[in-house]
Amino acid sequence: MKNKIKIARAEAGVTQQQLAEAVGVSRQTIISIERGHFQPSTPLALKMARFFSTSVESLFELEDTD
Amino acid sequence: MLLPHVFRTIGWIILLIVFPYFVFCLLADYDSFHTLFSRFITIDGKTTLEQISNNLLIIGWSVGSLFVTCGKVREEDEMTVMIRLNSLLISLYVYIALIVASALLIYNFNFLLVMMANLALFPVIFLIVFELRLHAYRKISEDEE
Repeated sequence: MKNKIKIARAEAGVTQQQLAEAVGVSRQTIISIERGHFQPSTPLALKMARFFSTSVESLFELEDTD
Repeated sequence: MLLPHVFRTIGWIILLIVFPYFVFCLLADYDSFHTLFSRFITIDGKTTLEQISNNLLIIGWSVGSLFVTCGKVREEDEMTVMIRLNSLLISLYVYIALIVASALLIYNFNFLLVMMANLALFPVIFLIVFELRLHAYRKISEDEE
């Protein structure tokens, strides 16, 4: 699964730490999600989408291998 | 189901007490060890003292490692939960592999000794795997903000 968290964060001018605090995880977890090493749960994906005022589909995208 | 964070600290304290004792028991000649402790504890016979010693080691080792691995980490979130579950799975693989290897390679009374060690081995393997993976997680490089 691909994600556009890094792009969304850059567009919003938000640091990893700020995003982490807003959604209630650690900064390392945000880094892992951005790198594609960790797939967030549905509640966490929804929290991120809400934080960026967008939809989950615009942040996360299924790949052919998924 | 996880224990509060304070249990991790308690677990480490227990392990820090039990580990030197474990090393001491391994290295010390039992008779001199028994004589040493008999000076301070009056207990009727060697067997009782050995039982207390074994219980201290097994219970301390197991409970200490349980508290450390099942206590919440400071930055507890869903990724640390995943790390914990993966560590549990890896530990199970390692544990079974060790049992299979010892069954194939070790026989007679020595195998019994290995099985005795197995009593407290799983939480220890879990502790090592979990702490290594947690360390790697905490070391995730300083990314750009």
